[in-house]
Amino acid sequence: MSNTYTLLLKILPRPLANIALALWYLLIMLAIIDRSAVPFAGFIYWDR
Amino acid sequence: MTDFEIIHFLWLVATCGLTWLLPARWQTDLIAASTLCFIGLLAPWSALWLLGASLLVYASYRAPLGIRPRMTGASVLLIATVFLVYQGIEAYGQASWTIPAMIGLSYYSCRHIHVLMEIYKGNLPSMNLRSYLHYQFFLPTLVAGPIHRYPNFIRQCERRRWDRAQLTGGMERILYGYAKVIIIGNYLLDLELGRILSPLAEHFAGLWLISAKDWLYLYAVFSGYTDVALGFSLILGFRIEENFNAPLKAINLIDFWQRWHITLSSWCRDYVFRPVQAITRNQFIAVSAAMIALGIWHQLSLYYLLWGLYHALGITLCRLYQLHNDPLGLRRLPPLLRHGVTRSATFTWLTGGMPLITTLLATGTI
Repeated sequence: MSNTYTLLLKILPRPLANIALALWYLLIMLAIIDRSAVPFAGFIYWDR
Repeated sequence: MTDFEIIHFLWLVATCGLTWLLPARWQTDLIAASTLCFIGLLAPWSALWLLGASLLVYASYRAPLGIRPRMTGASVLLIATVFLVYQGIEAYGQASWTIPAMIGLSYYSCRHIHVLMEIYKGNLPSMNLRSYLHYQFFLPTLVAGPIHRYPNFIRQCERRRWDRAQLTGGMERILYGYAKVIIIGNYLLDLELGRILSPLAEHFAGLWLISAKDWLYLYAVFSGYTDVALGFSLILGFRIEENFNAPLKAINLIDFWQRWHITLSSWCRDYVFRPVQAITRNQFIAVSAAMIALGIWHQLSLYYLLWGLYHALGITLCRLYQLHNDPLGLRRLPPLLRHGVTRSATFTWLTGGMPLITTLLATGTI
């Protein structure tokens, strides 16, 4: 079980925790996809 | 995300999927084969050197006892030289030179040297070529670390099994890792904060602020990539060593270097600091050697040589403060104020390195 899900189960009943987790992951994934368009800054460790 | 990152991510996903479809006895072979194909396609010279050096390390392990110490010593020298020459060419080579990409060189060179040093000390558990290739050709940690250790990896190979909790935990860690890299690191810190701070670069205080931003950016991006590596390792059933342990909570510089890039810091402690201290019996020389090694691991340049010396000086001052039993009486302060003072002082020293060295180099003082 993921840490976030464990945390959500402490404060919410299981069905609500499931929905909250799905929405939270969706939000992060959308933010990642959206911000991926930003030019990559050149992480110094990648090419070595 | 760059094309390289997307290919790396998709390759890892495919490797994880295929691994759990195969019978257990072939799974680690598949991971190693997949890694060899990945690095062979994207950086063939790096693949050749990784394979060649792995065979050299194994030959050192199998060498007769009489010549083993000399062979391990020669192998360490060769691997370190190749790494440093490549670093030097990368730093000082002319723009017209075509330098082959050596993906993961910084990390696998450290892993080779770790194994060679353990062979030299006689601490290594029994090793065969297959298990050594599994250790070196491990895709999740190949390109951005951590510099995990051989004995722990072998233990993990023996214990690993399918576990749904590890799968969900690993997937979440990968998601948070990419969020740290892309949203916090690349977007918020580098792009947005960088845009605000860039006009200040002409002043010393401005450089200091940019340095603080750079440390935060490095932390977000590097710990993010570590999360991705550890998340994929977890999905494959491996618990690899952590690389960061809340470094911003460090109460002094010694504490900081035990929390920041832990696998590299502990590598420098075991294979540079301790041997140099045993030979010289001088902690300052040993700390300087370890921090210079840590600096030139990033780049073989005057800047990183001075960077290493600067942090060695910080650690030495911190150690002297401890040895003189808290001369400023910080322990008598209320805990909240004490933590505020010590953490601010630590972060101020850390971030002061870049503006100080850049200014010294730019004014021609050094």
